[in-house]
Amino acid sequence: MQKISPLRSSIEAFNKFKALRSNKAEKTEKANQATQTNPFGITFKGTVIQMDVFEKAEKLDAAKENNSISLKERMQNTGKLLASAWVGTINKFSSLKTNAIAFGNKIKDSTIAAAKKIQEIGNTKVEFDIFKYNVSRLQNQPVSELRSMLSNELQGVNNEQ
Amino acid sequence: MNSRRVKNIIEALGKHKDEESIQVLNELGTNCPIDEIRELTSKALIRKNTHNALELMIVNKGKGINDLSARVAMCAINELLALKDKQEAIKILDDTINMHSEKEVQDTARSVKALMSFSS
Repeated sequence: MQKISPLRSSIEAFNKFKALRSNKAEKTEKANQATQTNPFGITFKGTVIQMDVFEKAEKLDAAKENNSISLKERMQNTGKLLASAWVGTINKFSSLKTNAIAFGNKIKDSTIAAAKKIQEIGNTKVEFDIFKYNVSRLQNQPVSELRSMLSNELQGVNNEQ
Repeated sequence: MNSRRVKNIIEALGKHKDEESIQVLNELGTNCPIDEIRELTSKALIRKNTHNALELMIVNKGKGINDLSARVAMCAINELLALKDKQEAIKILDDTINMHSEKEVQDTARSVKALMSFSS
């Protein structure tokens, strides 16, 4: 029976451990590659964007290896990029639109309020006694009007008595 | 009652060129139970210095110089004395002294005429 030296046994154990570790690392890498789609979880109107902007590494690597990405794939990639840019623009525009609508509504409300105020002022008859019952002004009024004014005033006196 | 308003209306009627204003003052002012308003009306009518207005204040019993309130009567007499042109007033006073049926009115007119002749 061959006698196993402690040095050899330790080298064998190390090799086994190395093989096991490399195997494990490979498995983890594969799993990561599988879940690489849309890592930021960008949503548009509550829906997760499903487009595959973030290409799988293995696919790209393969393409690099082959050094010949087909025209169809290129078109697809460009389309995806354009769609992504479009979604971003839509988001920007929608926020701008919301702001613009809010601003417009604010202006509309303030304008309506101002118009109401002006109308209110216009409807208010500002009559000061000092001007209405000014002698020189009364003098130019017809006698019939003065008669009615005086009788109204004197009627008040009679009622008071 | 807003006395300022009434005062201004009566004053405006006194200065009004329309003859109808005399009628308004006679109807509403001289028949008013308030002394103050009768006083204001007397002043306004005498200041007009027209025949009709002066006649109302001199000839009518219970109005102008013949008012039952001494205050109103004295005010009317003062106003007559303050007139610059007393010609028309003296003429009416003369007519009243000579032709009025009421002795009381005649006496008052005579007294006022005497005062006016002294003051001028």
